[in-house]
Amino acid sequence: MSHLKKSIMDKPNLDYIKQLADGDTAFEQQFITILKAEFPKEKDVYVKAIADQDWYEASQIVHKLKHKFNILSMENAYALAVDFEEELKNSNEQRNTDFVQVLDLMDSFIKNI
Amino acid sequence: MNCIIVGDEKTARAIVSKLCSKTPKIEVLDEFDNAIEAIKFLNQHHVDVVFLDIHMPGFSGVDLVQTLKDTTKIVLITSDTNFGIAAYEYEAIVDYLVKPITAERFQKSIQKITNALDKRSLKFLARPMMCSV
Repeated sequence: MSHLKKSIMDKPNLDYIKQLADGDTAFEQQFITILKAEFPKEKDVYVKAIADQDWYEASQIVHKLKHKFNILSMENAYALAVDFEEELKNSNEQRNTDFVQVLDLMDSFIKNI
Repeated sequence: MNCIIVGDEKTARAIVSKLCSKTPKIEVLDEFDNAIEAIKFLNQHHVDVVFLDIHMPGFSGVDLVQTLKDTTKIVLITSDTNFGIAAYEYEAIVDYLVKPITAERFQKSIQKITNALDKRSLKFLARPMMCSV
């Protein structure tokens, strides 16, 4: 099965954040607020980098987004990002469409938490 | 012991800060989203440990490592699972943590830091004393 199909099957969740918070709901809320603020900016940076064909910048922001996939337990999206980051360093953006779908999935999840 | 947290990702800094808050023996002095501001702080304060995101734009984590005083220990934070070998190129680096950091792994890191700081203290005590006559 391709990374994309698996990635779309990823079900983002807050398990890691809840585990880290360990009952500290104030921290949990604070963290979600940070995530809601930080993710759209990073997504915009990615979209702009691709539009500008700035593959290096795109690879850098994919690197950063990898961490957020991990935070939300999106293991397949993480695997996709690991490969795509390296491909972008070689000016290969063929998986852009796949990656955008994963970002949209994450965007939708984050907007609804 | 005290520490600072350096990284351009706010979510990553929040995670390290939370993990530190669960550890009684470590105090977070400050957080920085870039290496330059961190260096300015380090030049004015004694810091035991720097939790450092190695992957930052501009003046990177590696650049920061090269400017640090010998007494400050470093724990690198990275998203790369295959980072291990490069991580120990500098003596000041005592550990590296792969994101997302778990509480269990963080506690192991704290133990490594404690051991490294203990060794530092022993070195200080064992240094030759200068006597004035």
